[in-house]
Amino acid sequence: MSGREFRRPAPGPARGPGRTVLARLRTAGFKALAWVRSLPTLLLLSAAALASGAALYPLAAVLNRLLAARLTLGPFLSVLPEEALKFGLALAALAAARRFKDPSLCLLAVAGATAFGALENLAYALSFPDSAVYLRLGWALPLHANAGALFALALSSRRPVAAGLGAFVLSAAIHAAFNALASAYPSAPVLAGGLLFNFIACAGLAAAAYTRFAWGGVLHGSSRL
Amino acid sequence: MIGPGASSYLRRLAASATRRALMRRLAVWFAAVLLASSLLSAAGFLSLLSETGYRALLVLLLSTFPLALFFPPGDRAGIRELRALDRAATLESALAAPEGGASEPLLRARGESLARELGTAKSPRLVVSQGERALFATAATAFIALQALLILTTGGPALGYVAPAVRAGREEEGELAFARRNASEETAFEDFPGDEAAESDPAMPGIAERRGSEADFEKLHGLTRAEETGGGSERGDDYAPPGQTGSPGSLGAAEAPQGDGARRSVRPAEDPSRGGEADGGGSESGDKAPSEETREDGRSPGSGWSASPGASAGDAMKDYRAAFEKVYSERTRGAVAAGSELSRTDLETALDRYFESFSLRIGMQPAEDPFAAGLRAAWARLREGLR
Repeated sequence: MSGREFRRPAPGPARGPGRTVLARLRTAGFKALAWVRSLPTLLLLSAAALASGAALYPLAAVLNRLLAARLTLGPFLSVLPEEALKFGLALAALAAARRFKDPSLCLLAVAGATAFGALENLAYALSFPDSAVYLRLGWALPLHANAGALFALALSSRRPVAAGLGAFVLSAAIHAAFNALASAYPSAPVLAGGLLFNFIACAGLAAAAYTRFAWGGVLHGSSRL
Repeated sequence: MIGPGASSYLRRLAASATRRALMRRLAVWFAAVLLASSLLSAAGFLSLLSETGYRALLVLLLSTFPLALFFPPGDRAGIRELRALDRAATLESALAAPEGGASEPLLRARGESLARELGTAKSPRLVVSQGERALFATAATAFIALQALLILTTGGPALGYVAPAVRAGREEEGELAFARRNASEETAFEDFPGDEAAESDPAMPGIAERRGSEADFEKLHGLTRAEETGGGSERGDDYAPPGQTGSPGSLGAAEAPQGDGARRSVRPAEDPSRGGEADGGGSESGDKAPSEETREDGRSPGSGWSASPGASAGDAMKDYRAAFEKVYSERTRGAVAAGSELSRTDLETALDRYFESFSLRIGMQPAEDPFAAGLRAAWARLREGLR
């Protein structure tokens, strides 16, 4: 230490009642932020994806009502607002995957779509309190999850634009077909067929997604992104 | 670069690893849902959750299965699994070797031989981590515990929402009373006059509940009767507003004595603190001995039969009788009440009055036309006037 006197900064207010409320709130905020940053990135991103998907549900409801009031949309066009919102979620997941250099983060689109479908199921369960709501677990929910998975695989492929567009059209077509079937009071075999199709598609897409993102680097030598 | 054999082996390895990973995820998801749904069912059973809330939460829970299937695996999952099998990193080196390099033929050959060797080996044993084991054990325990609880309380297992246990009626109260073999009878009826000890007994049902159940008991068994009716066990003004004394009730088919429709009490009217015998006299003739002994001993029947020597053991009839006695005293506003003392004379008097014939009590008048009686009286006055 030099001969110069080291001037220590004046001590701040002592702990306890002397501290202002604002200072305490600031300290608490910094602590909360530090805790959040210490959490695993995947956990934070998953929570953000779930929250985004859940927030899309009321937005989709408002959009559908607005469009239905002004336009007469056919069964195919009426599904476009929902599919567009889910595609937007998939694009956000792709951005996160590029940002954190982890291609498997594209699957966060499925988390968002699942939250969307879960909130839709909850709304049905509260509006129609009978056991028919459980049918939606195999009829409507896999539609949303499969759409998210399809978008994730398409956007992480070698030709993301073409694949993404094709995935959008395919997802909208399947959604419209299921809506048309549901409004026509399908028989039990048709219902069973729809459920089977959904679960098989879900299993196939899950296998494809796991193979692509967990083994893609091994099988193909490099990341797709 | 790797050869066709190694490439085929890696594709098969990836497929089996994918299958194992997805099955593991589904198993973990199923265990978590089973645990959560068991807790929800238990909450519903304990009246902490309504059926609507249960259904909503269960739907949300079941809606999470896509999260289990599509959870991001990370791009190193495949490499980690390959390294677990290929300790020498032969295949990894072959994959990473540049095309056309000097080492490529050697690495390619070694990769092919290793792939042939690993292809014939048995699949690696599925390893369950400690966390997964703990989750499976907890879920199984919670489910089995819930089903055991349901079997014990409702008689059978159940899946889904189970309605809260409905409190049984007097039968259950009777069973509870039987079980309280060591409980003092002074505490058996918390609303019995002067019996504060029972009010603090946590094992006893609530006062209001017992009064309600006893009122129902009276309705069903016609314990009280109208004061105007001459007999039978029908309800009348038993629930008259305060200020009116009720007519003596009857037990079963026994009839209480009546007189000109006037309100009467079965017991000697002079002593409002006495009585209680007649109300039990009719139907309890077969069970007279304990009560008589009690009264003869001069012990207080005011607290039911608890003071009797044989009353300590759980006896269904005691509760029945004592409950009736209490209600009877209330309805007759103390005119018929279990007193602290009852002599044999009073008991005999009460029994005599209770079993007196109807005709003696009613005072039958000859049927007479009031008009004729008026004429007769007028003629009598006229006759007197003429004399």
